[in-house]
Amino acid sequence: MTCLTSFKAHEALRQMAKMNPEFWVELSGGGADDVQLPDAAETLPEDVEHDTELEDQDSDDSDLSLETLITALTKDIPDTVGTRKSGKLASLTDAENVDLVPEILEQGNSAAEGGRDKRNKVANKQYQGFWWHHDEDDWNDDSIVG
Amino acid sequence: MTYTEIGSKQVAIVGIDEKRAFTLLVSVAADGTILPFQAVYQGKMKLSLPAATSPNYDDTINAGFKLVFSGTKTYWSNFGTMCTFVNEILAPYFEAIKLKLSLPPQQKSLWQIDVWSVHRSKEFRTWMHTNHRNIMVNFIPGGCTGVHQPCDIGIQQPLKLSMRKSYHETIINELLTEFDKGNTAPDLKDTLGVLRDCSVQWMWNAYKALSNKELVKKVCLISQSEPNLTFRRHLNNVSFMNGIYQ
Repeated sequence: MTCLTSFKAHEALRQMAKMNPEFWVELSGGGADDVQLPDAAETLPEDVEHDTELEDQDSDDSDLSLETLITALTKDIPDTVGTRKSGKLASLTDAENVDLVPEILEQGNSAAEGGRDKRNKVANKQYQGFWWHHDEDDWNDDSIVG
Repeated sequence: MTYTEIGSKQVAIVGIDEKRAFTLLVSVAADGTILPFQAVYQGKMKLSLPAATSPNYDDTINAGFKLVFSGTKTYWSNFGTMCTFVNEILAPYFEAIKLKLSLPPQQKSLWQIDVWSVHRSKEFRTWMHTNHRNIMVNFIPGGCTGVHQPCDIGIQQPLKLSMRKSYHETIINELLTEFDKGNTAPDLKDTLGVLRDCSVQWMWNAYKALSNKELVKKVCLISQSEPNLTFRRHLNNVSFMNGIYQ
């Protein structure tokens, strides 16, 4: 076995320009024409400006905290978070979220594949009482009566 | 729907000519570092940029952010702003890392970018080859950024969420300020200048939130994996190997 710092290895590197000029050009940076790229006149997906309005149609994840999203990206998707068709996340605990269609809520119960225990959906009891939306006084005294 | 002349550098979508937008260049390194942002604003002079009195302006400048004007009628990056990015953000970062790791000046660095028309143009590649021979440019195949570009895989989403929340916070604060003044039906200020100044704070908040080495390392690792699963399942299945990026 030859050591990478041996004379033999160094000599092979020194001779590479002659022995394998094509690879040497690639190693030494080459020129601006050494890569095969699509023609500049061709329109690729990367050339089209993102339509943020379309992008946002099914991607409003603002019901999640940033910490929750980063946890979902780096560790595991918390039990309180579901996935939309687009792959975007949605909180499963927001009682007033009109986007919580059954297919998203189902995910709370189908996580066993990932190795976690089955997540049982628990009905939100927070709004069993009456919410004083329009009492026209100080919102600070709004409360749930149940 | 798109319609443009053949050879245009970027193709706008009809009907979404948003005047209050700017381009944010986000770059991450495999060691978990998020590089300072470059923000490109529409305009041809310094007055087109956020005011120095904008909230968090000093923080961003001290962190190495570069706020530049496009020199055109759009907020899109172009050859000039890309060169500025390389000269003022990318190359200094590589040089600093070489110094930190006691690497020789001729040490090669790898820069992975997509095949956007300016990136792949002969003009830009020639400029890179002439001015930054130690930076090797590696192109992600067209249409593959969703599986092989770290920023598309796991950085854009939290970045956009942070920006949305900052925007929301700005609106709430403005409304509450007006309510405190007794104005019960305030008009929100949404002129270009006002939002441009606000953008500095939004960028700064996002930069702080994304300065998370665990997140950046993980998305960098995912981008090198085989793209046969959705990225989130990928993210969940990958474990870190300590020290792999040192």
